[in-house]
Amino acid sequence: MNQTYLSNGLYSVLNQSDEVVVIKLDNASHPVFKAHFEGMPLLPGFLQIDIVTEILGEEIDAIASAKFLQKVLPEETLTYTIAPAKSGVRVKLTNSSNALCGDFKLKWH
Amino acid sequence: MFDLDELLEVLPQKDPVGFVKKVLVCEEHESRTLVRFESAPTLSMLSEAGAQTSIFLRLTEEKKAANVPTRAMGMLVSIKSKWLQKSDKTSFEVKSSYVNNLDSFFVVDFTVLDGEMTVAEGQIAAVLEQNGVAL
Repeated sequence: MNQTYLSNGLYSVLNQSDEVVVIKLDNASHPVFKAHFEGMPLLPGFLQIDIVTEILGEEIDAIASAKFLQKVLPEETLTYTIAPAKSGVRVKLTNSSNALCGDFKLKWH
Repeated sequence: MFDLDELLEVLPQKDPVGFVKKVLVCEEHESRTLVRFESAPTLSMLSEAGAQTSIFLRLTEEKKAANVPTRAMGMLVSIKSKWLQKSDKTSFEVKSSYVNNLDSFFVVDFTVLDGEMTVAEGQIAAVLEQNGVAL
């Protein structure tokens, strides 16, 4: 797993398999949360996708669709559930209240 | 007439998440920016750059006429995008234009260019919010 200049220290992996990845986000003092946004820290949508691809060592060819359904806050515990889908994978992102935060259809190698 | 350099101040995303470094064009239905990353970007990062470029579409006379505050933030609702030509470069020009503009909700096409070559393209949808409330 190669963390980027943005994801470095942003999360820690609590549990990982090919189908499920559980992470814990850093607190609001992380540079990403300070920058997005000042006074209203939220995990950017693009990083919701990049975190799971980074953990699984995948590179995305296309985002067939990505829906951002709920704001993701610092220190949240998040679960990615990954399932095969037509020409790619479907990744659902839920928080510790089991609320669906993101629904991503991705094409990767 | 907008001062293109001053426009960057309204970008709510700050470094290291603020990818737009220069606004090249800010017109009624098209914006162009120069975006830069510290390392080769992912497709998701380029899509975010497309979303950030779309912010400069909002500062139009049309939006002002609809009383949409210029400080309103566009919260990303969805992305659809693809690589056309993968690139290890870190600077690109991004163009965006409206597909639909319903004042507080908008859909925007974006294109990421390396010189003359299109490296990625896609579409984003966003809803405008102020103080965490949808407009």
